[in-house]
Amino acid sequence: MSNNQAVLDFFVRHGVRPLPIGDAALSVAYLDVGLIDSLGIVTLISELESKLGVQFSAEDMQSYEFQTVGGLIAILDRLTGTSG
Amino acid sequence: MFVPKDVILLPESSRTRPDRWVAMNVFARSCLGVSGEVVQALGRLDDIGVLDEKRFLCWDIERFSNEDGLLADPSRFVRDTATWAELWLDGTALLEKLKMHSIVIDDEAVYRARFQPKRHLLDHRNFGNFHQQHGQHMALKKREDPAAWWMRQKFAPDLLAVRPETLYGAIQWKFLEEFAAHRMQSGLEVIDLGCGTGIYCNLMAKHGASVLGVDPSEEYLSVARNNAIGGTRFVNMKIGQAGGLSGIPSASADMVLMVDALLFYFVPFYPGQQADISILLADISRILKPGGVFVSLEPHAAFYLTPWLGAVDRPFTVITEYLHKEFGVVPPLSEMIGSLIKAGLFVTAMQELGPHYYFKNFDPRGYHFAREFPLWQLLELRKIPT
Repeated sequence: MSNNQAVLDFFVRHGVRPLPIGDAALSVAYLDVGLIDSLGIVTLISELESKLGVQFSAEDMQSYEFQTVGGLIAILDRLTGTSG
Repeated sequence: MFVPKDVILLPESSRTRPDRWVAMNVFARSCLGVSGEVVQALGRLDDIGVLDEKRFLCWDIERFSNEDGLLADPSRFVRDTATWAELWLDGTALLEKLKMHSIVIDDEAVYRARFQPKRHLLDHRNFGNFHQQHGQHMALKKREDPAAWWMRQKFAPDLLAVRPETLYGAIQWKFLEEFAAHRMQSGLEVIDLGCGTGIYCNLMAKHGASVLGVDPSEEYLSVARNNAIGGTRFVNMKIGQAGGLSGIPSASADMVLMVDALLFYFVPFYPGQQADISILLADISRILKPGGVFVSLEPHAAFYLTPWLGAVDRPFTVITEYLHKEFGVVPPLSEMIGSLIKAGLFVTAMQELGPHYYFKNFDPRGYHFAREFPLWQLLELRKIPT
Protein backbone atom coordinates (compact mmCIF):
# COMPACT_ATOMS: atom_id res chain seq x y z
CA MET A 1 0.00 0.00 0.00
CA SER A 2 1.39 3.42 -0.96
CA ASN A 3 1.69 6.23 1.56
CA ASN A 4 -1.00 8.11 -0.30
CA GLN A 5 -3.39 5.17 -0.10
CA ALA A 6 -2.57 4.49 3.56
CA VAL A 7 -3.42 8.07 4.57
CA LEU A 8 -6.59 8.31 2.47
CA ASP A 9 -7.68 4.89 3.69
CA PHE A 10 -7.28 6.02 7.30
CA PHE A 11 -9.55 9.03 6.76
CA VAL A 12 -12.14 6.90 4.94
CA ARG A 13 -12.34 4.66 8.01
CA HIS A 14 -11.97 7.26 10.78
CA GLY A 15 -13.05 10.63 9.32
CA VAL A 16 -16.43 11.98 10.38
CA ARG A 17 -17.10 12.85 6.72
CA PRO A 18 -15.47 12.04 3.35
CA LEU A 19 -12.46 13.93 2.06
CA PRO A 20 -12.92 15.94 -1.17
CA ILE A 21 -12.13 13.99 -4.33
CA GLY A 22 -8.71 14.32 -5.99
CA ASP A 23 -6.05 16.92 -5.23
CA ALA A 24 -8.46 19.03 -3.15
CA ALA A 25 -8.03 16.44 -0.38
CA LEU A 26 -4.34 17.26 -0.04
CA SER A 27 -4.85 20.75 1.36
CA VAL A 28 -7.36 19.67 4.03
CA ALA A 29 -6.16 20.54 7.57
CA TYR A 30 -7.84 17.49 9.04
CA LEU A 31 -7.79 18.62 12.69
CA ASP A 32 -8.81 22.22 12.02
CA VAL A 33 -11.88 21.10 10.07
CA GLY A 34 -12.73 18.46 12.67
CA LEU A 35 -12.28 15.45 10.39
CA ILE A 36 -10.80 13.57 13.34
CA ASP A 37 -10.41 14.55 16.98
CA SER A 38 -7.43 14.49 19.35
CA LEU A 39 -7.93 10.81 20.11
CA GLY A 40 -8.11 10.16 16.39
CA ILE A 41 -4.69 11.70 15.87
CA VAL A 42 -3.17 9.24 18.34
CA THR A 43 -4.75 6.39 16.36
CA LEU A 44 -3.54 7.92 13.09
CA ILE A 45 0.06 8.15 14.31
CA SER A 46 0.23 4.63 15.70
CA GLU A 47 -1.60 3.09 12.72
CA LEU A 48 0.55 4.74 10.06
CA GLU A 49 3.75 3.97 11.96
CA SER A 50 2.93 0.30 12.32
CA LYS A 51 1.46 -0.12 8.85
CA LEU A 52 4.30 1.63 7.02
CA GLY A 53 7.16 0.71 9.37
CA VAL A 54 8.18 4.32 10.11
CA GLN A 55 8.62 6.45 13.22
CA PHE A 56 7.53 10.08 13.24
CA SER A 57 9.99 12.37 15.02
CA ALA A 58 8.97 15.12 17.45
CA GLU A 59 9.91 17.63 14.73
CA ASP A 60 7.64 15.90 12.21
CA MET A 61 4.73 16.15 14.61
CA GLN A 62 5.44 19.77 15.50
CA SER A 63 5.47 20.86 11.86
CA TYR A 64 2.54 22.53 10.13
CA GLU A 65 3.13 20.09 7.28
CA PHE A 66 1.93 17.27 9.54
CA GLN A 67 -1.45 18.94 9.91
CA THR A 68 -2.62 18.61 6.30
CA VAL A 69 -3.40 15.44 4.38
CA GLY A 70 -0.87 16.27 1.65
CA GLY A 71 1.79 17.30 4.16
CA LEU A 72 1.34 14.07 6.04
CA ILE A 73 1.82 12.07 2.83
CA ALA A 74 4.95 14.13 2.00
CA ILE A 75 6.43 13.38 5.42
CA LEU A 76 5.70 9.70 4.97
CA ASP A 77 7.32 9.81 1.52
CA ARG A 78 10.48 11.22 3.09
CA LEU A 79 10.47 8.67 5.90
CA THR A 80 9.98 5.76 3.53
CA GLY A 81 12.35 7.17 0.88
CA THR A 82 9.56 7.31 -1.68
CA SER A 83 9.23 10.13 -4.19
CA GLY A 84 5.70 11.33 -4.83
CA MET B 1 13.62 41.57 19.40
CA PHE B 2 13.64 41.83 23.20
CA VAL B 3 13.36 39.96 26.49
CA PRO B 4 9.72 39.91 27.66
CA LYS B 5 8.96 40.99 31.21
CA ASP B 6 7.85 37.42 31.91
CA VAL B 7 11.48 36.25 32.13
CA ILE B 8 13.41 35.85 35.40
CA LEU B 9 17.00 34.82 36.01
CA LEU B 10 17.75 32.39 38.81
CA PRO B 11 21.26 31.62 40.05
CA GLU B 12 22.49 28.03 39.77
CA SER B 13 25.94 28.97 41.03
CA SER B 14 28.37 26.67 42.73
CA ARG B 15 31.95 27.09 43.91
CA THR B 16 33.27 25.36 40.82
CA ARG B 17 30.78 26.95 38.45
CA PRO B 18 29.89 30.41 39.80
CA ASP B 19 28.65 31.73 36.47
CA ARG B 20 25.60 29.64 35.74
CA TRP B 21 21.97 30.81 35.55
CA VAL B 22 18.50 29.58 34.68
CA ALA B 23 16.60 31.89 32.37
CA MET B 24 12.92 31.08 32.94
CA ASN B 25 9.84 32.43 31.25
CA VAL B 26 7.43 32.03 34.14
CA PHE B 27 4.29 32.29 31.98
CA ALA B 28 5.42 30.06 29.12
CA ARG B 29 7.09 27.76 31.70
CA SER B 30 10.16 27.39 29.54
CA CYS B 31 13.79 27.37 30.67
CA LEU B 32 17.30 27.60 29.33
CA GLY B 33 20.59 27.36 31.23
CA VAL B 34 22.76 30.37 30.43
CA SER B 35 26.23 31.68 31.25
CA GLY B 36 26.85 35.26 32.33
CA GLU B 37 28.01 36.06 28.84
CA VAL B 38 24.59 35.14 27.50
CA VAL B 39 22.95 37.23 30.25
CA GLN B 40 25.04 40.20 29.12
CA ALA B 41 24.18 39.50 25.50
CA LEU B 42 20.46 39.74 26.34
CA GLY B 43 21.09 43.46 26.70
CA ARG B 44 22.51 43.83 23.18
CA LEU B 45 20.45 41.37 21.18
CA ASP B 46 20.90 43.14 17.85
CA ASP B 47 24.63 42.46 18.04
CA ILE B 48 24.39 38.73 18.73
CA GLY B 49 23.53 37.65 15.21
CA VAL B 50 26.61 39.29 13.71
CA LEU B 51 28.91 37.62 16.24
CA ASP B 52 28.97 34.30 14.45
CA GLU B 53 32.64 33.73 15.09
CA LYS B 54 31.96 33.87 18.84
CA ARG B 55 30.65 30.92 20.82
CA PHE B 56 28.23 31.36 23.74
CA LEU B 57 27.89 28.84 26.55
CA CYS B 58 24.44 27.65 27.53
CA TRP B 59 22.72 24.46 28.61
CA ASP B 60 19.62 22.64 27.34
CA ILE B 61 17.84 22.02 30.64
CA GLU B 62 14.15 22.18 29.88
CA ARG B 63 12.08 19.08 30.56
CA PHE B 64 8.39 18.43 31.08
CA SER B 65 9.00 17.44 34.67
CA ASN B 66 5.39 16.49 35.38
CA GLU B 67 5.97 13.38 33.30
CA ASP B 68 7.23 11.99 36.64
CA GLY B 69 3.79 12.61 38.15
CA LEU B 70 1.25 15.37 38.64
CA LEU B 71 2.72 16.09 42.06
CA ALA B 72 6.34 15.84 40.93
CA ASP B 73 8.57 18.93 40.84
CA PRO B 74 6.81 21.15 38.27
CA SER B 75 9.77 23.48 37.72
CA ARG B 76 10.43 22.28 34.15
CA PHE B 77 14.19 22.17 34.29
CA VAL B 78 16.72 19.45 35.09
CA ARG B 79 17.57 19.93 38.78
CA ASP B 80 20.84 18.02 38.84
CA THR B 81 23.32 20.52 37.40
CA ALA B 82 25.97 17.79 37.22
CA THR B 83 24.03 16.32 34.31
CA TRP B 84 23.62 19.60 32.40
CA ALA B 85 25.17 19.17 28.95
CA GLU B 86 27.15 22.17 27.68
CA LEU B 87 26.16 23.79 24.39
CA TRP B 88 28.52 26.19 22.62
CA LEU B 89 26.40 28.15 20.18
CA ASP B 90 27.25 30.79 17.62
CA GLY B 91 25.20 34.01 17.62
CA THR B 92 22.59 32.82 15.15
CA ALA B 93 22.04 29.51 16.93
CA LEU B 94 21.88 31.27 20.31
CA LEU B 95 19.15 33.64 19.14
CA GLU B 96 17.19 30.71 17.74
CA LYS B 97 17.53 28.87 21.05
CA LEU B 98 16.49 31.91 23.11
CA LYS B 99 13.41 32.41 20.93
CA MET B 100 12.52 28.72 21.07
CA HIS B 101 12.32 28.98 24.86
CA SER B 102 10.52 32.37 24.81
CA ILE B 103 13.44 34.06 26.57
CA VAL B 104 13.59 36.43 23.60
CA ILE B 105 10.63 37.39 21.43
CA ASP B 106 10.17 39.31 18.20
CA ASP B 107 6.66 40.62 18.63
CA GLU B 108 4.77 41.10 21.88
CA ALA B 109 1.31 40.76 20.28
CA VAL B 110 2.20 37.51 18.54
CA TYR B 111 3.76 36.17 21.74
CA ARG B 112 0.73 37.08 23.88
CA ALA B 113 -1.63 35.50 21.37
CA ARG B 114 0.01 32.16 22.13
CA PHE B 115 -1.53 32.11 25.63
CA GLN B 116 -4.71 30.44 24.51
CA PRO B 117 -6.07 26.92 24.73
CA LYS B 118 -4.58 24.48 22.26
CA ARG B 119 -6.90 23.84 19.35
CA HIS B 120 -5.94 20.18 19.05
CA LEU B 121 -3.28 17.66 19.99
CA LEU B 122 -0.87 18.84 17.28
CA ASP B 123 -1.14 22.53 18.20
CA HIS B 124 2.36 23.60 19.25
CA ARG B 125 1.73 27.29 18.74
CA ASN B 126 -0.72 27.95 21.57
CA PHE B 127 0.65 27.15 25.01
CA GLY B 128 -2.69 25.78 26.28
CA ASN B 129 -3.50 24.74 29.82
CA PHE B 130 -1.73 22.13 31.91
CA HIS B 131 -4.01 19.25 30.92
CA GLN B 132 -3.46 20.00 27.25
CA GLN B 133 0.32 20.29 27.59
CA HIS B 134 0.42 17.10 29.59
CA GLY B 135 -1.75 15.21 27.10
CA GLN B 136 0.36 16.41 24.19
CA HIS B 137 3.59 15.46 25.91
CA MET B 138 2.37 12.00 26.85
CA ALA B 139 0.80 11.20 23.49
CA LEU B 140 3.41 12.62 21.13
CA LYS B 141 6.72 12.57 23.02
CA LYS B 142 6.43 9.76 25.54
CA ARG B 143 4.01 7.67 23.46
CA GLU B 144 2.55 6.34 26.69
CA ASP B 145 -0.91 5.00 27.31
CA PRO B 146 -2.46 7.82 29.37
CA ALA B 147 -4.49 5.38 31.51
CA ALA B 148 -1.34 3.42 32.46
CA TRP B 149 0.52 6.66 33.24
CA TRP B 150 -2.26 7.95 35.49
CA MET B 151 -2.10 4.80 37.57
CA ARG B 152 1.69 4.51 37.67
CA GLN B 153 2.31 8.08 38.81
CA LYS B 154 0.15 7.61 41.93
CA PHE B 155 -0.07 3.91 42.72
CA ALA B 156 2.38 1.09 43.46
CA PRO B 157 2.74 -1.50 40.65
CA ASP B 158 0.30 -3.87 42.39
CA LEU B 159 -2.22 -0.99 42.50
CA LEU B 160 -2.91 -1.74 46.15
CA ALA B 161 -1.15 1.28 47.66
CA VAL B 162 -0.41 4.93 47.02
CA ARG B 163 3.33 5.35 46.28
CA PRO B 164 4.98 6.51 49.53
CA GLU B 165 7.89 8.16 47.68
CA THR B 166 5.52 10.69 46.09
CA LEU B 167 3.63 13.59 47.61
CA TYR B 168 0.44 11.61 47.02
CA GLY B 169 1.73 9.21 49.64
CA ALA B 170 3.28 11.76 51.98
CA ILE B 171 0.33 14.16 52.01
CA GLN B 172 -2.84 12.64 50.64
CA TRP B 173 -2.53 9.04 51.85
CA LYS B 174 -1.14 10.04 55.24
CA PHE B 175 -3.97 12.51 55.75
CA LEU B 176 -6.73 10.15 54.63
CA GLU B 177 -5.33 7.34 56.78
CA GLU B 178 -5.81 9.53 59.83
CA PHE B 179 -9.11 10.91 58.56
CA ALA B 180 -10.49 7.37 58.09
CA ALA B 181 -9.35 6.28 61.54
CA HIS B 182 -11.08 9.23 63.18
CA ARG B 183 -14.19 9.68 61.08
CA MET B 184 -15.26 6.27 59.80
CA GLN B 185 -17.52 4.04 61.85
CA SER B 186 -19.73 1.06 61.42
CA GLY B 187 -22.91 1.82 59.51
CA LEU B 188 -21.66 5.07 57.95
CA GLU B 189 -22.79 5.24 54.31
CA VAL B 190 -20.00 6.74 52.21
CA ILE B 191 -19.93 7.39 48.46
CA ASP B 192 -16.57 7.99 46.77
CA LEU B 193 -17.19 9.83 43.50
CA GLY B 194 -14.33 9.36 41.03
CA CYS B 195 -13.04 6.45 43.08
CA GLY B 196 -10.57 5.26 40.43
CA THR B 197 -9.00 1.99 41.52
CA GLY B 198 -10.80 2.07 44.87
CA ILE B 199 -7.86 2.40 47.25
CA TYR B 200 -9.54 5.06 49.36
CA CYS B 201 -12.81 3.08 49.36
CA ASN B 202 -10.94 0.15 50.90
CA LEU B 203 -9.32 2.47 53.43
CA MET B 204 -12.71 3.82 54.57
CA ALA B 205 -14.26 0.34 54.61
CA LYS B 206 -11.43 -1.01 56.78
CA HIS B 207 -12.65 1.36 59.45
CA GLY B 208 -16.22 0.10 59.27
CA ALA B 209 -17.90 2.32 56.67
CA SER B 210 -20.12 0.94 53.94
CA VAL B 211 -18.62 2.43 50.78
CA LEU B 212 -19.96 2.79 47.27
CA GLY B 213 -17.20 3.60 44.76
CA VAL B 214 -18.38 5.36 41.59
CA ASP B 215 -16.26 5.96 38.50
CA PRO B 216 -16.87 6.38 34.76
CA SER B 217 -13.81 4.25 33.86
CA GLU B 218 -14.43 0.52 33.54
CA GLU B 219 -10.68 -0.03 33.41
CA TYR B 220 -10.21 1.49 36.87
CA LEU B 221 -13.31 -0.22 38.20
CA SER B 222 -12.10 -3.67 37.17
CA VAL B 223 -8.93 -3.06 39.22
CA ALA B 224 -11.09 -1.81 42.09
CA ARG B 225 -13.35 -4.90 42.00
CA ASN B 226 -10.37 -7.26 41.93
CA ASN B 227 -8.95 -5.64 45.06
CA ALA B 228 -12.18 -4.88 46.88
CA ILE B 229 -12.52 -5.67 50.57
CA GLY B 230 -15.76 -6.33 52.46
CA GLY B 231 -17.98 -3.29 52.84
CA THR B 232 -17.22 -1.89 49.39
CA ARG B 233 -19.02 -2.11 46.08
CA PHE B 234 -18.26 -0.41 42.80
CA VAL B 235 -20.48 0.91 40.02
CA ASN B 236 -19.90 2.60 36.68
CA MET B 237 -21.77 5.88 36.41
CA LYS B 238 -21.35 9.02 34.31
CA ILE B 239 -20.45 11.52 37.01
CA GLY B 240 -21.39 15.11 36.17
CA GLN B 241 -23.75 14.24 33.32
CA ALA B 242 -27.50 14.86 33.48
CA GLY B 243 -29.05 11.77 35.07
CA GLY B 244 -25.61 10.18 35.44
CA LEU B 245 -26.03 9.45 39.14
CA SER B 246 -29.76 8.74 39.05
CA GLY B 247 -29.05 5.17 40.17
CA ILE B 248 -28.10 6.50 43.62
CA PRO B 249 -31.16 7.19 45.80
CA SER B 250 -31.74 10.68 47.21
CA ALA B 251 -30.77 11.30 50.85
CA SER B 252 -28.84 8.03 51.05
CA ALA B 253 -25.28 9.06 51.98
CA ASP B 254 -23.81 10.24 55.25
CA MET B 255 -20.70 11.33 53.39
CA VAL B 256 -19.76 11.99 49.76
CA LEU B 257 -16.03 12.01 49.15
CA MET B 258 -14.15 13.33 46.13
CA VAL B 259 -10.38 13.14 45.92
CA ASP B 260 -8.56 14.82 43.00
CA ALA B 261 -11.73 14.64 40.97
CA LEU B 262 -13.78 17.81 41.42
CA LEU B 263 -11.32 20.00 39.50
CA PHE B 264 -12.06 18.19 36.25
CA TYR B 265 -15.57 19.63 36.32
CA PHE B 266 -14.37 23.25 36.60
CA VAL B 267 -11.68 23.37 33.94
CA PRO B 268 -11.99 21.66 30.55
CA PHE B 269 -9.89 18.49 30.44
CA TYR B 270 -9.50 18.44 26.67
CA PRO B 271 -10.08 20.99 23.87
CA GLY B 272 -13.75 21.55 23.29
CA GLN B 273 -14.98 19.95 26.52
CA GLN B 274 -17.78 21.83 28.24
CA ALA B 275 -17.02 21.65 31.95
CA ASP B 276 -20.25 22.00 33.91
CA ILE B 277 -20.02 21.69 37.66
CA SER B 278 -23.67 22.50 38.45
CA ILE B 279 -25.04 19.07 37.46
CA LEU B 280 -22.54 17.26 39.67
CA LEU B 281 -23.08 19.50 42.70
CA ALA B 282 -26.86 19.22 42.39
CA ASP B 283 -26.43 15.42 42.42
CA ILE B 284 -24.19 15.55 45.50
CA SER B 285 -26.70 17.74 47.31
CA ARG B 286 -29.51 15.34 46.37
CA ILE B 287 -27.61 12.21 47.43
CA LEU B 288 -26.60 13.51 50.86
CA LYS B 289 -28.82 12.86 53.85
CA PRO B 290 -29.89 16.01 55.71
CA GLY B 291 -26.84 17.02 57.71
CA GLY B 292 -24.65 14.78 55.52
CA VAL B 293 -21.14 15.94 54.69
CA PHE B 294 -19.39 16.46 51.38
CA VAL B 295 -15.60 16.09 51.69
CA SER B 296 -13.55 17.51 48.84
CA LEU B 297 -9.79 16.95 48.74
CA GLU B 298 -8.34 18.78 45.78
CA PRO B 299 -5.04 20.21 44.61
CA HIS B 300 -4.49 23.63 46.13
CA ALA B 301 -6.09 26.57 44.34
CA ALA B 302 -2.94 28.71 44.48
CA PHE B 303 0.16 26.52 44.82
CA TYR B 304 -0.48 23.38 42.74
CA LEU B 305 1.83 23.38 39.69
CA THR B 306 3.75 26.49 40.72
CA PRO B 307 7.54 26.09 40.36
CA TRP B 308 9.65 24.96 43.31
CA LEU B 309 12.33 27.66 43.35
CA GLY B 310 15.11 28.75 45.69
CA ALA B 311 17.35 26.74 47.98
CA VAL B 312 16.17 23.26 48.93
CA ASP B 313 15.20 24.29 52.48
CA ARG B 314 14.23 27.93 51.75
CA PRO B 315 11.71 27.59 48.94
CA PHE B 316 9.92 30.32 47.12
CA THR B 317 7.63 30.29 44.15
CA VAL B 318 6.30 32.55 41.42
CA ILE B 319 2.54 32.83 41.05
CA THR B 320 1.45 34.05 37.65
CA GLU B 321 -2.29 33.54 37.81
CA TYR B 322 -5.04 32.91 40.31
CA LEU B 323 -8.45 34.35 39.47
CA HIS B 324 -8.18 33.81 35.71
CA LYS B 325 -6.43 30.56 34.94
CA GLU B 326 -4.86 30.05 31.54
CA PHE B 327 -2.55 27.27 32.61
CA GLY B 328 -3.75 26.02 35.98
CA VAL B 329 -6.51 23.50 36.37
CA VAL B 330 -7.87 24.23 39.85
CA PRO B 331 -10.49 26.96 40.22
CA PRO B 332 -9.90 29.82 42.66
CA LEU B 333 -11.42 29.29 46.09
CA SER B 334 -14.15 31.87 45.60
CA GLU B 335 -15.36 30.11 42.45
CA MET B 336 -15.25 26.67 44.02
CA ILE B 337 -16.93 27.67 47.29
CA GLY B 338 -19.42 29.88 45.45
CA SER B 339 -20.53 26.93 43.32
CA LEU B 340 -20.85 24.72 46.37
CA ILE B 341 -22.96 27.28 48.24
CA LYS B 342 -25.18 27.67 45.21
CA ALA B 343 -25.77 23.91 45.36
CA GLY B 344 -27.10 24.19 48.92
CA LEU B 345 -23.91 23.30 50.80
CA PHE B 346 -22.11 25.36 53.41
CA VAL B 347 -18.49 25.15 54.49
CA THR B 348 -17.88 23.68 57.95
CA ALA B 349 -14.12 23.09 57.78
CA MET B 350 -11.07 23.78 55.68
CA GLN B 351 -7.53 22.48 55.96
CA GLU B 352 -4.39 23.03 53.90
CA LEU B 353 -2.39 19.84 54.04
CA GLY B 354 1.36 19.45 54.50
CA PRO B 355 3.62 16.43 54.04
CA HIS B 356 4.47 13.79 56.60
CA TYR B 357 7.99 14.14 58.04
CA TYR B 358 9.26 10.88 56.47
CA PHE B 359 9.14 12.49 53.02
CA LYS B 360 12.15 14.66 53.89
CA ASN B 361 14.33 11.62 53.23
CA PHE B 362 12.80 10.88 49.84
CA ASP B 363 12.71 14.37 48.38
CA PRO B 364 13.98 17.23 50.56
CA ARG B 365 13.06 19.90 47.99
CA GLY B 366 9.52 18.60 47.63
CA TYR B 367 9.19 18.25 51.40
CA HIS B 368 10.27 21.80 52.18
CA PHE B 369 8.18 23.28 49.40
CA ALA B 370 5.02 21.37 50.33
CA ARG B 371 5.54 22.16 54.00
CA GLU B 372 5.39 25.89 53.31
CA PHE B 373 3.10 25.97 50.29
CA PRO B 374 0.25 23.47 50.72
CA LEU B 375 -0.44 21.35 47.66
CA TRP B 376 -3.86 20.04 48.71
CA GLN B 377 -6.84 21.71 50.30
CA LEU B 378 -9.61 19.95 52.17
CA LEU B 379 -13.09 21.40 52.23
CA GLU B 380 -15.90 19.95 54.30
CA LEU B 381 -19.41 21.04 53.50
CA ARG B 382 -22.77 20.18 54.94
CA LYS B 383 -26.13 20.18 53.30
CA ILE B 384 -28.23 23.15 54.33
CA PRO B 385 -31.40 21.69 55.93
CA THR B 386 -34.51 22.61 53.97
